[in-house]
Amino acid sequence: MTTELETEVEPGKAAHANGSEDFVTMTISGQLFGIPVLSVQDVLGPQKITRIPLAPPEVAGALNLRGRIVTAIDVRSRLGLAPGNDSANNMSVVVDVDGELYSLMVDAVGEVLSMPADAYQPNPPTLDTAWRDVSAGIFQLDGQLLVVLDVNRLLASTERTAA
Amino acid sequence: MDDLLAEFLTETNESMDVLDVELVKLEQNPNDPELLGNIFRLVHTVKGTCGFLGLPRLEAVAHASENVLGRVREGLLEVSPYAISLVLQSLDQIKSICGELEQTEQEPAGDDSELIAELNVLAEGGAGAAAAPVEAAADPVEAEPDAAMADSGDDVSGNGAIDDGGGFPVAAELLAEYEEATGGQPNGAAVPAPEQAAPEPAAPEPAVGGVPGSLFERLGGQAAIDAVLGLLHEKILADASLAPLFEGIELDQFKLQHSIFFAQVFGGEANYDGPDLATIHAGLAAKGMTEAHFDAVAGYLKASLEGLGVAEAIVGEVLAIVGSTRDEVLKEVEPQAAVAKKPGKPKAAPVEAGPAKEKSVSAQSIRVNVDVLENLMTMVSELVLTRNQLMQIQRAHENSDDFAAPLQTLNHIVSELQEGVMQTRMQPIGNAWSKLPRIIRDLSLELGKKIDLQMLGQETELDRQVLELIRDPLTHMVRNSADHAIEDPPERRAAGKPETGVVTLNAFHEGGHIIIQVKDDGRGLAVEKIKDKILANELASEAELEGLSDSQIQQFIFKAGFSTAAKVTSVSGRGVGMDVVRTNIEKIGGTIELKSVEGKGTAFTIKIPLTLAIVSALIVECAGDRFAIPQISVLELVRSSHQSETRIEMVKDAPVLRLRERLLPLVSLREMLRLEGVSVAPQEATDETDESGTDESGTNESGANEGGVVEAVSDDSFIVVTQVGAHSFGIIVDRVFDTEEIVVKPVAPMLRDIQLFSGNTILGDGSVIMILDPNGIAAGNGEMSLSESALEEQKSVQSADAQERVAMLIFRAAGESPKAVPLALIARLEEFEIETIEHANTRAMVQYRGQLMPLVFFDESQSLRESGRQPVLVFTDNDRAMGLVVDEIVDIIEIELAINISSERVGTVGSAIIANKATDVIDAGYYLTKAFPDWFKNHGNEAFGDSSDRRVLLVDDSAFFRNMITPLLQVAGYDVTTADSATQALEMCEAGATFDIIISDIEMPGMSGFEFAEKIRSEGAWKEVPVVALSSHTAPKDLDRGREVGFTDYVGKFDRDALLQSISETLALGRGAA
Repeated sequence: MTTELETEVEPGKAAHANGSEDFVTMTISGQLFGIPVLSVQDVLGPQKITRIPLAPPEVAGALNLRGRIVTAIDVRSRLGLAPGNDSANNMSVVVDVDGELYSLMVDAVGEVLSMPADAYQPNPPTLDTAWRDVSAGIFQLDGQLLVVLDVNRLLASTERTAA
Repeated sequence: MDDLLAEFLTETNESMDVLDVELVKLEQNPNDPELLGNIFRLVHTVKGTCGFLGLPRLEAVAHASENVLGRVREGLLEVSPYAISLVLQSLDQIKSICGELEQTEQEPAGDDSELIAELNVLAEGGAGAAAAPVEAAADPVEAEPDAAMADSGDDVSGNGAIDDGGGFPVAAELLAEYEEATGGQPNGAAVPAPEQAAPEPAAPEPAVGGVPGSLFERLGGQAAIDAVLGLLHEKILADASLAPLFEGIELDQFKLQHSIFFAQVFGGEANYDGPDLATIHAGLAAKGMTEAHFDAVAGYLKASLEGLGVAEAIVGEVLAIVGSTRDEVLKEVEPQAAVAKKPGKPKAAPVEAGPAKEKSVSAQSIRVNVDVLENLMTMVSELVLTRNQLMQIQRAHENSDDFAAPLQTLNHIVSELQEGVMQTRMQPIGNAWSKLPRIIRDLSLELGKKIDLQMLGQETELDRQVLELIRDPLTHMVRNSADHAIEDPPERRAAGKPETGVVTLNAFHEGGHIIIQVKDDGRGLAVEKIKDKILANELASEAELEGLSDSQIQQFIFKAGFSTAAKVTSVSGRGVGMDVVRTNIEKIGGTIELKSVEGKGTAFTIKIPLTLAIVSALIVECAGDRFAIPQISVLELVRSSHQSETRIEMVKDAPVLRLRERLLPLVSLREMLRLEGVSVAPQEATDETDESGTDESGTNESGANEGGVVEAVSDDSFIVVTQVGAHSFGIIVDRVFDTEEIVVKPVAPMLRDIQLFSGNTILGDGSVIMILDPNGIAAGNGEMSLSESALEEQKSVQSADAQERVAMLIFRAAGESPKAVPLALIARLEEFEIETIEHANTRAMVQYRGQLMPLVFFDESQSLRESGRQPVLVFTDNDRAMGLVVDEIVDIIEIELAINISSERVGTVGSAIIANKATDVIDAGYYLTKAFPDWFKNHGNEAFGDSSDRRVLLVDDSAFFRNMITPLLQVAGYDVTTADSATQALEMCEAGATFDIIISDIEMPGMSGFEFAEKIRSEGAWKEVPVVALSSHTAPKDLDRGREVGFTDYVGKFDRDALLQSISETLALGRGAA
């Protein structure tokens, strides 16, 4: 199953010649997160989501994206955060992992930032384990920190939880 | 992977599959040259391609088996089971190498020399046995000995080629050496035949006493020969007129062949077994080598020899030998076509031209990656869904006429596109069977049995995906049949069966499904043995088994834990139980049935959907969420409420429903899915209940009250009666919506562990919905115990055996006493608003489906209701319909027939005790004529053509059935005569009555239907008259028996459509044949 949007480039490998990398930023509970731009397929506004009973708690449900069924992941729940109070206006970032589409539900989606590779820092050892699992590292921005999400791990560990 | 390699693997795997089948066929028809040719060609292609890709190990194996096949093709080797086994073994080797090649992209290391040696021995042994002189010289490793070559020896002598060489000083011993080597025979020469000469090569040299060493030695040994050949080749290549001849020829190999030839021939190697010059040069001749060319080459050879300072006499000898081959080399030019076809060298003609027919076929088909098709399929599915959405929108805005026409067009195009794309996924089921002949063959050799595998309906097409999934279960079943079911020849003889057991595979389409039968005439399932195993594996207690019928005990083979093998996930080989087969078939929404008669054989019937891509599903709602349930597993729908008789009762915590005297276990979808939230009260009436309820199985009250407003009671719920395997259960849901065609999509990997869902899909309105898996639900509820439901099943089976059961519709009309009519006669149950009933010419009418339908009353005392809705039983026949006004529809009951016939009152057949009440069974025929006096006349002609002149004899002991079926047949325009027993019918026969068709009951006192059919088939005037069996239970067992004794067809008693169809088809057939 492929769509015209699928790229041959592996997520996270979109390094520019000058050593910088582009990230789509998003916020959950005020925290800034980033996903490599090339792994992002779509950015969606609030969607009609079908609940999936018996699914792991972080699976919010499934939605129809132009005829494809996309599994919606509640990133909040995945990161062990309390449910947001304005879930009606949630936005989502759709990523493609091994041909399957997942919609990561976040509070808001921001801009695309180009980050120099040398601004990259490994996870601090004190980081919450749930976060450490899914964080590929941290970028220091002016005034705030950008946590880079490792989409594969984010979803893979979900599977483990489910199993 | 390398594209070339991938292509090769695909192609080789395909070839191997074909070869398996063809070789087994060849074994059965050893004299079919076309078959052999095809096999040879395939092996050869594989070999050629291996060589091309540099896969020496594969090439060697393929080559050795090609050799054997070559021998067979020449008629030098008999097709023996041993030969076929050996070749098959080499194919297996090739497959296994290919398997590893696919994994590693490297040809695996390994030693095939043993196999190759065996093949070579076989090839050579065949040559020896054939005792043709030249074959001894043929090469088991390299050449394709062909007919032309076989003649070569004779040609040499016949043409006097040796004498031609006489211009040179030919030494007698040299000639003798040559003769020996090539096996040629000079005219009248006293040289012994090579097979005699071989053991004593030097003995019969006639002329010269002391041989001064062989020519080989005199020339200066191998080094000198190589030098000469090197020179010669240089010269040849330098010659522009010769160069084209050598194009495409691997010179090194060519040179090597020459070198070996010269070394051995000159060296006096008596039994030289390499290719002779003619063979080596065959490719050249095919390219148009002429005498001039040959002479030129000979000239170069002479020059080369002289250039190396070889003595003149020796040069002469060499040239004589070479010259002697001149004619045979050049002779090749004529039968060029034949030569071109025979691959003299692997490189020269690696691919042979197949028959022209095949070529044109291959030109019309292309290989397409499955992914491309899958993607296309997905797209089309989306297109279908989008179209559905558009149509919905259009319906909502009815005034937007502008869109109607293009939408209609779009609709058509999309439908056709969908069909077309589906077609691309269809493959003949024969593809899944291709391995079976081989398996059967190997098994029969291994087990010493004689087994004939018959495959019918191989061209039946089904979805690729389904095909893949059905392949293993089928293989397993066929293997089982051959392994366990078919007896040894002695055992079969003792049982009075032919020695050769027959395993039959049959596939055909039936109503959107594919039916596959796997049948054998083996020993059948031994009930006692199964019982022992059941007890040993503690699947049931002895007491439980006591109550089970034989066929129910046989069903245990499908039960998990029956097979001694541990649960295996994929059907891979022996020791895997039938439970896995059943599971796999059910996984794709199929069913499997078994019937087996001990000593007679076993038959499995598998029913699978044509495609998995689009299924019909029932949309239900539970706790505000919608779910889809595949329609194939839905038996019926029941609405339950506290008020109605059908209500959910609890046994401890287990909900159950009384459904037609049985307790149906229920599961709550809400609980299973752990859905919280308030039950949403149904907002509106849904009459889906009618669609899958009443029509099919004639069910419940709520179905009968179709159209009645469903009260919005919150504790109302619907029960989806679902069947999984042999047992059924009910799923409690809040609401039932429509059925919808859905495209099943797999769920995301992280959700695959949830057993309850088999997939998800997008509905016409664009929302995502989860598809429930009834198998998963059953499994999720622990074992929906087989024995429990089996016992229930058994009860009904037993009573059905004891007495025929009929579904009767009970109603009240004209008086308090209940009346009944066979449900099968009624087309629909309707309720009409009183206001819609019109009166014309003192008769009540109602507009129904675009026509005026007359309403008939039972008697004058009956009247329509004052207000509200009037229940009516609708009888239809083609284009006309009649409504019988009733006061109340009471129930539908399956009863055992115990009718006391009374013909005192018009309009009744008699009365019966139904539900402990005396009930009048009405004569529908009487009321039909009341509505349309001509109901049984004339119009039948229009509908059924010239059926009115068709005379039908109906033989049935039950007056009730005679009365029920006669009007049916009369309606259809047949001239019906009845007989109440087989004996009476036979009397008619003797009296000279003639009929076009006989319809006979099976269960009759005295002479049964089977005996009756047998009797009239064996003798008398009715020998040719088709006989249709009529029975209340159409068990496949009866069906077979019926066919055996000569029934033309077999129909259920209550299936009026099937009966009429069968009659008209049978008659049409008879007419066609006559």
